[in-house]
Amino acid sequence: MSVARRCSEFLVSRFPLEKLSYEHLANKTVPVHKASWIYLLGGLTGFAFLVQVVTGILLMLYYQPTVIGAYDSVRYIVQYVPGGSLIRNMHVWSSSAMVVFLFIHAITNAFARAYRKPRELTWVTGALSMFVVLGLAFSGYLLPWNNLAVYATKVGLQIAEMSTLFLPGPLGGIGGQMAALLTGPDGIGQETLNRFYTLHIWILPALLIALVSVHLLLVQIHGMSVPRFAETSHKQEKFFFNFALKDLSAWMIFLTLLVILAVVLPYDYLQPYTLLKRYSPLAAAPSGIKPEWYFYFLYYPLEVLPKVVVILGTMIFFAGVVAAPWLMEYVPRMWGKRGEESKFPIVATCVVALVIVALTLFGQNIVDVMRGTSAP
Amino acid sequence: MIDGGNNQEKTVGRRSLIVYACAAVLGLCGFMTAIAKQVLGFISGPNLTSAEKSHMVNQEMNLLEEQKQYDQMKLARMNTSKLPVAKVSDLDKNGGKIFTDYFLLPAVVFKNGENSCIARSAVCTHLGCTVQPELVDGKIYCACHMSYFDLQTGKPLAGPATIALPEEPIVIEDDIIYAVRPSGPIKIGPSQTPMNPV
Amino acid sequence: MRHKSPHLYSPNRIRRVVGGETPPLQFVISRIIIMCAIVTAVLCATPAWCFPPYAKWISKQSKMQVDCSYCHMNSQGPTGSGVGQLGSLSEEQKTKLDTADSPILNSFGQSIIKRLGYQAVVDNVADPAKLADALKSSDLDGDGIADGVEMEHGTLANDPESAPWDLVWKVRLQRNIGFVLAILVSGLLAFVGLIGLSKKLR
Repeated sequence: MSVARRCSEFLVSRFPLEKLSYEHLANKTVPVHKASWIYLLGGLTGFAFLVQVVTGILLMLYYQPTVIGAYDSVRYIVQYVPGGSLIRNMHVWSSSAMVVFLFIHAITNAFARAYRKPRELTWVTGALSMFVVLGLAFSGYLLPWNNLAVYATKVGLQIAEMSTLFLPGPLGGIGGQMAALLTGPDGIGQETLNRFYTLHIWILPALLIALVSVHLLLVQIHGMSVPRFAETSHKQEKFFFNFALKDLSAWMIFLTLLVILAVVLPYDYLQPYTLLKRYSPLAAAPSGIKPEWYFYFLYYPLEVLPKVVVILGTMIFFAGVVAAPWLMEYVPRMWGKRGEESKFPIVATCVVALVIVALTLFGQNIVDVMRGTSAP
Repeated sequence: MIDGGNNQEKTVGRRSLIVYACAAVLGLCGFMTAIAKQVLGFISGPNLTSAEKSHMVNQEMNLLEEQKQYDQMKLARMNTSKLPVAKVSDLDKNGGKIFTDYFLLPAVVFKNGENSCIARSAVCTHLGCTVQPELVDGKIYCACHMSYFDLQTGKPLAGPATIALPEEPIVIEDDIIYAVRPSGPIKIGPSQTPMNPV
Repeated sequence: MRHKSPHLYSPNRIRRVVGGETPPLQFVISRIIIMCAIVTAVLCATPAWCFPPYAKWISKQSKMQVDCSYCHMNSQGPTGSGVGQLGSLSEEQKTKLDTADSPILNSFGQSIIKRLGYQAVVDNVADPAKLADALKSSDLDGDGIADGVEMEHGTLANDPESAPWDLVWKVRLQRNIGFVLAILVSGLLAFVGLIGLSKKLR
């Protein structure tokens, strides 16, 4: 079979667009079983993104993306604008919630092996949008222009610059050029802020919306995947309005908790004040610069292991995440088992989940023990 | 009888449906009102007292002043071949001074003899934090991830950094330390940070 | 003091530490040396004239990083020529140095002088806890946490956006109790209604 033919067959079988009709949509059903709560997680992630969009647009009314004005405009929002502290902290907390939901969504679907044929592309678009979400988080971190923001961004750019240094010849400079593109011609300054702001409010959200649209379209066409243990039960409920109302009620609980958390505990209270001061290009860096908690699984290995290992490992890991539907099918065949029978997918998912959770929760402690120091 | 029972069940079912619908509508309306009030307040903005306003204007003027100084630094770096950055008499055995070099990046100058000084880039080669302007046990120290560098050679001694801190050219004339314009074009950007081994 | 840097990352050592065996003497020594280095770094990083004992005490109490700008204008302390440092003062400002309007102090530093006097700061250097205790009756920034308590927790006493999170959430809950209750009640009501509807609808 020719390549073009195979491609077109692949696409036709993955996008059975004939299913896309009003009839199909109105009569859509969702399976009911012990683990059907996992179907709520994707919706929750999407809703957290909606909260980000709404609060983000509101914040744009006051935020000034300038080196002189950024820090004070954020202070102004929090201190003087009525409801400003609420809106800003909803934006911050909801970004963390979005990453949490996304992570649980990915892990539960990996356990349920929802990426199996014909849903490979649903998984791929989801995995790609995960990178966009991490990009959104990274670009948003710089905007308050305080010490923590700028130094964490410097660290991130430095890592990008190093990421290709081990490659031979001119390839080694790619990371540096990428970092230079993000930084702008004059070092970390106004141009960097402009670039990050553009990425944060326009390019990355647009990309995310595009990816998620395809993701949702595919979910709509193929319906919910059923984990193997529940394949025998055929209980279903209607999407309209039984499942939709369930979705809504989950969003309601999340929004209630988010608003209360944002009112009661502003995010900034969790950081030492030296990190939250306006960034000054002429002062020494305060200690304790850290990325946001959801980058710990990348950051702490970088602290103790050889950088080449970590960066190469991360690249392979990310590629593996995107290619998981095929890896989980073909790797077990190497020792002569079909993907369906093998324990490999479950074991691999467990290991990945445990490593990420352990590094996020105990990364700091692990680094301290390996270094033989305690954090000052 | 059976029909009657069914009817009763249906009525009960319908009644609870109406109760739930009312609860949902009421709850959603209440929630939206509370949030909408906050959002409207947010959009219409604060009513500041004149004291608060003048405080803010003052703050803004200070910032503009700072920005002006920074811009003057930029200009000076474009138009001069050497710049005064510190006084030898201001430095002591361990206390150095952070200054801004020709790349507008932080650099630090320390005393390394009775009347001689040495300047190094202050951008830590590990992950780009600015090193501390005080020596720790005679070593340059970066507080971010606890890297130590040798003052004389710039070589990393302990901690995660693996690349030396590059030396920066200075001259001393009558107690004043001048940073000297490096030869070659001045290009400011991340590729100028000392990550790439010089 | 000398660092035994080559040993710091030796794989043997890491295995030992992670394995939880009794650490050998060499490891204990290197650890002590590193601790000393950190303490020296903290001491050195705290310039003269900003009462290092206070900064040290606050850091120790709170395990938070603290610099001179806790009480002073400039985070590097009053010596130097930067903003809020002695070298940048005009003659007129210099006359105010010993008063409660001192140009080298921030509003918290000034309030200490105003309320307790400069002498109290000098007298309590040996026992900073006493100064914190004396400041527990006022709340300069109005965030609901007394200045002395903020000192113990290493958060800024003159900034409402900086406060110990484990205490301040109760204050914020009390202050916004109406809004929080409205959100909680209506949110739960909507949740119960929606979930009930989703079960009852056929």
